[in-house]
Amino acid sequence: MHLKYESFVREPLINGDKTYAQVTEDICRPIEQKPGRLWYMGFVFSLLLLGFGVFSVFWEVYWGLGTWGINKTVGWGWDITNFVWWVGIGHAGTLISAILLLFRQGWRTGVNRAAEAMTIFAVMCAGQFPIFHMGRVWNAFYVLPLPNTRGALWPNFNSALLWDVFAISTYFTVSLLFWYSGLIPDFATVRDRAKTKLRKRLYGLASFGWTGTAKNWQRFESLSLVLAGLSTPLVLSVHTIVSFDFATSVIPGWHATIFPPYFVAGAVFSGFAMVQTLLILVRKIFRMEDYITLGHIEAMNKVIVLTGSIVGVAYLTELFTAWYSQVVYEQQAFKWRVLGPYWWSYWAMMTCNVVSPQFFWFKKLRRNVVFTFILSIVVNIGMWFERFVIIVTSLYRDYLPSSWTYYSPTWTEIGFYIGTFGLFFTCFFLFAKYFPVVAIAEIKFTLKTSGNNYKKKMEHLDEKSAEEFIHIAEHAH
Amino acid sequence: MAIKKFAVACYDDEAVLFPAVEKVRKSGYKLHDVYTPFPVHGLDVALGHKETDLHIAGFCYGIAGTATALGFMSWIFTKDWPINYGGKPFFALPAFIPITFELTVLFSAVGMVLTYCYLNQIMPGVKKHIFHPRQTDDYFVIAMEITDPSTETEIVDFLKTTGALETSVQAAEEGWWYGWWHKDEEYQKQLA
Amino acid sequence: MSQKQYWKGLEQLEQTPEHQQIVENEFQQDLPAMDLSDKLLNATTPRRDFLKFLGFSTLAATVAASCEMPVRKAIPYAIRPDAELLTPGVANYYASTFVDNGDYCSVLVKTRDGRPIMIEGNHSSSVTRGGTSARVVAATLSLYDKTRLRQPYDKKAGKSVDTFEKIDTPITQALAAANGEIYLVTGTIISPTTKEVINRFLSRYPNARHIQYDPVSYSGMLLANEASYGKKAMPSYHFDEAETIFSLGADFLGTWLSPVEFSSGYIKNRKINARDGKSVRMNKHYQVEAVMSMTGANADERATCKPSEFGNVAAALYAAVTSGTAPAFKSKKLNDLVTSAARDLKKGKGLVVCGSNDVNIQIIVNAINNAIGANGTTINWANTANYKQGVDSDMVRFVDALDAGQVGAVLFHNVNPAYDYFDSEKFRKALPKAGLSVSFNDRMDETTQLCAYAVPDHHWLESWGDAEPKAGYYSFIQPTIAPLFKTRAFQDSLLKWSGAEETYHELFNKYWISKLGGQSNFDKALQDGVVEPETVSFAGASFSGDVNAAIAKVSAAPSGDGKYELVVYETVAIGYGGAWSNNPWLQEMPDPITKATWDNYVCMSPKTAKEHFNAELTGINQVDTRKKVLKVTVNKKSVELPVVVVPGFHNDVIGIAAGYGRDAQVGRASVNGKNAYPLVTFNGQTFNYANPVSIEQTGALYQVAITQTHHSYEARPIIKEYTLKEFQENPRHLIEERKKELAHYTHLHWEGHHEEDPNADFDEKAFEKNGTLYPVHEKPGIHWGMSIDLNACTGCGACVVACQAENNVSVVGKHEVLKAQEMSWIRIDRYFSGNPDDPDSIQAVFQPVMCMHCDNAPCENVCPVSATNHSSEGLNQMAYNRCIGTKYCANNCPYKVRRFNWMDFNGADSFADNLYEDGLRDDINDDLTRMVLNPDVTVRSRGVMEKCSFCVQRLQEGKLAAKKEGIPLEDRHVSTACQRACAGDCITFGNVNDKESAIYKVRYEDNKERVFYMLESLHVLPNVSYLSKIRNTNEIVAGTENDQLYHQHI
Repeated sequence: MHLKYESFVREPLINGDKTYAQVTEDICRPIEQKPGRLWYMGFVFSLLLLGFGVFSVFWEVYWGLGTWGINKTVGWGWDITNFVWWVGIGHAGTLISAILLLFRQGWRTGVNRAAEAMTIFAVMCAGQFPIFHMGRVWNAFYVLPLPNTRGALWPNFNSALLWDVFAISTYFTVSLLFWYSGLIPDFATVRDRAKTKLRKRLYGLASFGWTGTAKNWQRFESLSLVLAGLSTPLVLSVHTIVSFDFATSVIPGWHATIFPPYFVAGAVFSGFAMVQTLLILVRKIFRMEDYITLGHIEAMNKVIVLTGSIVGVAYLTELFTAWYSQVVYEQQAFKWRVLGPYWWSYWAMMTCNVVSPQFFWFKKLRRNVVFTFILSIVVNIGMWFERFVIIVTSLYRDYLPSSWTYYSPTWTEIGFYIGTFGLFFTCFFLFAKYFPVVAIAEIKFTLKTSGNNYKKKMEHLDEKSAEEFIHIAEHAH
Repeated sequence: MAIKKFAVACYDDEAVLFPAVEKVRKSGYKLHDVYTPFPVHGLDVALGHKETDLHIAGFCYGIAGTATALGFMSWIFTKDWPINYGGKPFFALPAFIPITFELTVLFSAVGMVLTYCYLNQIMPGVKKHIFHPRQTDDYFVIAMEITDPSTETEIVDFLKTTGALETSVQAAEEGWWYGWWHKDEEYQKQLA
Repeated sequence: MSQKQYWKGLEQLEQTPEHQQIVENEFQQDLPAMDLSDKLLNATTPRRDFLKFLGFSTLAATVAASCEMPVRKAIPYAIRPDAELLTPGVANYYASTFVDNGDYCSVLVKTRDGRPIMIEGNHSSSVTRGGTSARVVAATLSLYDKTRLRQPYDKKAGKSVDTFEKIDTPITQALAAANGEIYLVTGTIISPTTKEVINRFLSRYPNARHIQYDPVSYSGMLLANEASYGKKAMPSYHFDEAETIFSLGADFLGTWLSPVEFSSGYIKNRKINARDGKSVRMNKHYQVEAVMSMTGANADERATCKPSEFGNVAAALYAAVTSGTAPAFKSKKLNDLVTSAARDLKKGKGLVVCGSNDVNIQIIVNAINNAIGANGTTINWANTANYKQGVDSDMVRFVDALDAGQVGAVLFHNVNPAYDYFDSEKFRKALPKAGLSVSFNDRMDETTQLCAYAVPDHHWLESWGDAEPKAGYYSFIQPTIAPLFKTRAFQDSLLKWSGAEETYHELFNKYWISKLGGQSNFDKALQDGVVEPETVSFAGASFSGDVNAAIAKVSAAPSGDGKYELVVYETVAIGYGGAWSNNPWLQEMPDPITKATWDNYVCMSPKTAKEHFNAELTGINQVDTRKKVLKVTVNKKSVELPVVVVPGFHNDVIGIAAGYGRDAQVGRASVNGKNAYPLVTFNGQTFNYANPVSIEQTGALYQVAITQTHHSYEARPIIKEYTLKEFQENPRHLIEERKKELAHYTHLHWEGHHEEDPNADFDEKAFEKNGTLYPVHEKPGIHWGMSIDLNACTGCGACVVACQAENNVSVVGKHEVLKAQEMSWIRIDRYFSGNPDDPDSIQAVFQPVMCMHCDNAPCENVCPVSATNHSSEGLNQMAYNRCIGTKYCANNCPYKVRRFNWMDFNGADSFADNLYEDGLRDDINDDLTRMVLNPDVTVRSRGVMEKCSFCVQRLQEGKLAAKKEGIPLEDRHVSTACQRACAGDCITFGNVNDKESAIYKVRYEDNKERVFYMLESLHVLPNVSYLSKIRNTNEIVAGTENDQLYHQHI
């Protein structure tokens, strides 16, 4: 117990000779110094995108959904596509922080803070779409089971869309709690380093007056463990429920029992890709190569190739089921999906999601930052197309040929989507500037097991014989 | 809540901290608390803290959530306002499961965090005395309460023997309070 | 009126003079409607005030109508003879008559609080038999058309005139002083009293002449009949008597002569009662035509030929009928068709009709009818029809006279030569040469703009009148609302100008009271709307035409130089044009065949389009709304219009609809498209609507709003078709199919082996119970159900417009239709099958689709706020106020019948100034136009989902009626708007739980062999069932290897 030991063959998760003080210094630097030009440029750009999004939404709410391209047959278009896409992206954050915590994956420490932040912002973006795709958004509160003056008027608990309301809001709340409870000690660190009074006060407020007594830390660990335990089934349930929106319907191409696992895999897939995109930027901009190492990147690339292959299998299974069902509507639906007027979206999805990740079987590419960055974006494009394919190319040619139509978005829909990027990156830039982007306390915790310099100290142990090793281990200190 | 006097010792390595903690506990002086910048495994054992029951609380909250969700939905659809939706039965249990699960998680998480804050006495605006500014950075701090002013030097000397890098004597509010930081500094002034 | 007379007080009983006084002076101070007139006509009055007055005057008229005095005038249709005449909130029905030139329909007008809001068929008429057409139902909207003239107009003064006196004097003077002939140009007049009035006018002005002019002319027939039978008249055709019908390019179900009458007769013999089993019979309908008409789409056997070959086809048929010689056309199908048609026609009870306006062809047709003994059996000369009386040469002569400056004065009533005369250029130039020109038209249309005076006539819903569609069949027009504007009955104007003292109304009363013998008979007549002979007497006519000369002429006639021929046709929706061009309901009603809205276009066959203009009916064409624009030229006059590809068109024939491309002053809705009348020619005797044409590409593109872009039903089990033969051999075919398809769900295999009685019907109850894991909800009391007979549906679209009128369904405009955001609650799906390259192989089927009110409705489960859920009577109901518009329900509807309010289409939104404007449909939200809204139905706001409600407001009304009678609900209490509108009664509606109800009998007794439900296997348990389509032909193409449309997924 008292001897922190990790075999030398494992590569260090923290590079360079770091001490605790050094760690604190490195991670707090971006917070304490003025942000660079890159940051300002990025931030202003995000604000512009956000502004355009707000305008597009205003336009749609004022004039009506007729300003969108959706129609009598295709009732959901870019709106719900983007919703599912953003939710999916969110999932990697929870996954990294929660599931990897349960599996005691040391490498998560470098990335979990940023990933969780990403989760929260992504869910914020996702939430916009179900709200503003309503025809009468000013009555959106009807979905809440509120006692009201209209008599006993309750929502319909059978509706998958209502399940969504509960799932998404729960997911957002729990992620937020999980994230923030981890932030409290780090805020305390920033607070105690603060020079100016204002900083002291603000971070003092944010740190809830944390001092870090042994008992607090004990409860802290217990809390994060249980929250992790809750988040894990939660994150699975959320995308399962999102998939119910389609799986519980009667529309060929939607009505599929394979959806829950398939959606979850897809979520992890796109989520990790997004984490890659962001972290590669963060480690560049904030010079955090020592904490977000190639090791991290490679580990996540492995997850990507795995989940990418899973969704690939799912796509093929769908085709098989359609053929095997011998139901004309199913068969035709998939025929039109693959070969119909929307063929391009299907094949875009296939290339980006199934083919491209296969490159990660090569270690060289897995550890190539630039390639990873590009591919992470490709994957996210592919996952967007997956949702588009599921939603639009199922609806546009369903049971009655008389109602078959085609759908293309209008500028308001596209603007709405762009706007959520603005929202996302605005939040993320603020986070990167004012929050510790890496979990300081947790890094310190792993420093002595996986830190480069400490591992060196342990090097001699590896040469010792078993008996000697055990002896040393027992009589350490 | 009261202002008390504390003898404070700082260490920079848990390898030194652990034996120090053992000595302190044997010594019989009143140990106020130990502060670390990150969770040091085994410290709670070394200090003889018993395992926390936070997770049990979490479980109870969860059950509460389950009960609420199931009860509420069943009541609405069978008693309060039964409606025929697409020919489904009024009590359509399978359809209730997702929301039931979500509420279980929600109740459990929220309840636990609140309990956690309550037990740790942390909250926005809450202030506590910081014995050493680096205790959230790279110092491990042991604070001993000086119950009898006569023993002050004796305690400090004893702490020095445990391999402390720094030692000091501070008067501080032992609990938490609302307010700004300089308020704490005022205590110091009053004392001096 | 046989109703009890209650006397209020002894005065009335004793009829004291004082009381008399009071009664007479009941309305001492004139009604506001009258004394406001000056104000009304004051141009400076703000429109809103004007409309306030208007509303008030309407109401006042209503109130008046509820008191004694007007009662003497207008007699409400007797639903309950002892009812008060007007109870606010309770509708009154007045029998009246729809007359638009020759178009005739006997109707009931539903008025609510003095506003006509709905028009339904009048079953007491044996002519139209309670049927209606889209145009008839849409008439209420034309009444409230804001582009109607609101007062007389004096062109010289360049302003409106506030009293009729001010223009009566100059006009009468001008008439008196007219040097040269005075022409009264009207459409076909079928009103006896109007004829009377006109005669007075003619006798007053000896130099006056009356000519009748039909923009879509039938004078070819009139002349042919004159030549064949010595009467320049039309017989009445009895399609209900005919067992074999041969139509040579006559769209008798859609536009030809009297479509409502013919449809109801035609469908009578196509309804099949499956109980008759092997002995079921139906008429056989042969159609030879150049374009794909709605009638052709309903035909059993159909072949195409160029219009220039019509003569030869007629001749060939004549030869086949008389001498049995086989025809020798290039097209085999045509030969076979003519041969078998001749065989069937000779069996008797045959009827041949022809849409051509060529005298010789019509003579041959007469000869055929004579040869097969149609005269006296299916063609009745005892009651000649008056629908069309216009003779083209008269009109041409008139225009020449006009041009020569020989016309002293000309009066136009309900005609618009400046737009629809084939040589309108000449007419426009010539008209100013007339000393005096007056138009009675209802709006500043192309002709009225050129006239010196506009003296607007009433709308027929505002006026008194009568009609004699057939000799001896009378039908009456009652005003259902006080005149909205300062208009005057056309007849009153004529009477005034011919110096008569009495008004038209007095003349009308006198005429009929004397003719019918007594006030009470007259009242009864007004009440019923029609007076008809007790029995139909059939009479033939002796044929004396020179058929051989005719044959010689037609075979000598040039078969059309140039490859292509153009046919100018009427659409079922807006017909010849007139006021209909500005009727948004009709503009947005999808054309039965092309399913296009808001435009006219060049129709051509897929082959032609593909091979010569590379605009083919596949792939991107179904995605892209842009169509290639072609330039079409007929003797140096050309128009540029987009191509719309239609299977079934002869490969060398193109078609363009008339009635589009109107002047902006006709109304915003009417400006789309191009005027096709200039492409009509005059052959010295009659107008020619089919001419050789040259076509060139322009490279331009134009968007056409089409509501259905896929044309094959992909051989899916959503429509069931059988040939009559198949059906006779095994009537239970469909039942067996259903059993086979659903056996697995009906009899669960774990319940052990099920010994199925082969003669048992399909067990719907077992399927309902075993098809789900859930327990089944009981369905006690009323359970609404509807059955639609695919055999009876001709696709005419009357139901579509009726639904729109009844349920305040928004008109969305062309731009929204382009985005497939249209909102009609009931649509008619039109599917083609066959080989697109071979027009003769095309079979079409029409399927009306509205909300199926599924008992296991998928839409209900998914609504998060329970805005849609199931009523105890089986209705799938919408709570508009609760709807937040997630559109999830629409996505999850397998029938795609839910409609979303994409924009604020009708000012029902809480947002300021965000009313959607299309440019075409804007007038629909004018305060005046909104008077057409049905107060019983919520006007939905933006962002709300809506759909067919089975006319729930009518159901509630019916239930109340039954309750008041203290009896259980019966069929007669309830009807849906679409059901009432249908000329073929193809919709049956009622309470399925009532074993006496028609719907129960159709479904479970009389026609159970033909019943099927769309997408039954989904176990959504729809409450709308269909009756299979039976074709009296040898092969059903759909799904066979010949069905190229299916194999190519077009």
